[in-house]
Amino acid sequence: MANNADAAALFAAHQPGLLRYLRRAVGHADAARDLTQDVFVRVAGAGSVPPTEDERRAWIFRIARNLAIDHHRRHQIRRAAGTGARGPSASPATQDTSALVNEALAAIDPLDRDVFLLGEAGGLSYAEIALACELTVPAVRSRIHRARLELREHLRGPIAAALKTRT
Amino acid sequence: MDTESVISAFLDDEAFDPADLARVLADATGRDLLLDLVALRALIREEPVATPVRPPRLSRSKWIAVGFLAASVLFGAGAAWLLPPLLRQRSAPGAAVPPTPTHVVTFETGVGAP
Repeated sequence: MANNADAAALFAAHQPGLLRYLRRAVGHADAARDLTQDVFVRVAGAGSVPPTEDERRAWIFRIARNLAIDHHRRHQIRRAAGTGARGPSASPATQDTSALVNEALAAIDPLDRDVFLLGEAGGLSYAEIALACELTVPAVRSRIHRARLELREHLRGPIAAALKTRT
Repeated sequence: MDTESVISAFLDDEAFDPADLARVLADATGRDLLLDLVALRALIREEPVATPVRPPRLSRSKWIAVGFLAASVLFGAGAAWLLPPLLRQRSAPGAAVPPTPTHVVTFETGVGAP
């Protein structure tokens, strides 16, 4: 088991990025908070911790990504069974900007989305994303480019509005 | 590198050729793409596109603390300036030797003595 103090320090250092990543990966703030706590439980209970900082970051975000994937699966099963609440990617009746962003994210390839969010929301470098997702760095670069261009198309309105409020 | 690759590398702190970035930003298409991607990042992170930079303003309690600190520094400096001469005066050589007597009082047995 990882030393509790080490696990707590590790978690504290990455908690803001984890929460931002999970918030967009699952589309719900409450679920993201719960999953962030689950990441901490996994980190604290891990048999060993990777030796370098880059590897540790990639490892923590890989745990977070796997939890987000499980979360999506659970919601898909509930939806298919006709039980449970609406899925995380479903937008509320009132479509605010955040819901539009979540919709746009749900519309792109899931791996492109994960790779993009690990960098954009989680703050990981291309090399760390490559470690977390078991991809090559050129593949990460290519997926991030593709995700950005697709999201730019999906979110033309909100992007223009965000830039307009600045001027 | 193409326009998207250069701007992505710039935004993500990855390696790029500054000459490529200069070429890309010389074109309006490149500038528009950069602005859009900065705004996209802000939307993803739920942050404003940019936060105006203002000098930090001190609250009333912080002003009181700063005033107290300044007064303490001034008091300390004054004490450091005034105390050494006083201490030197008290600890001067011979300061501990008793003064020379000017009167001698002698008691002699008188009335009522055995």
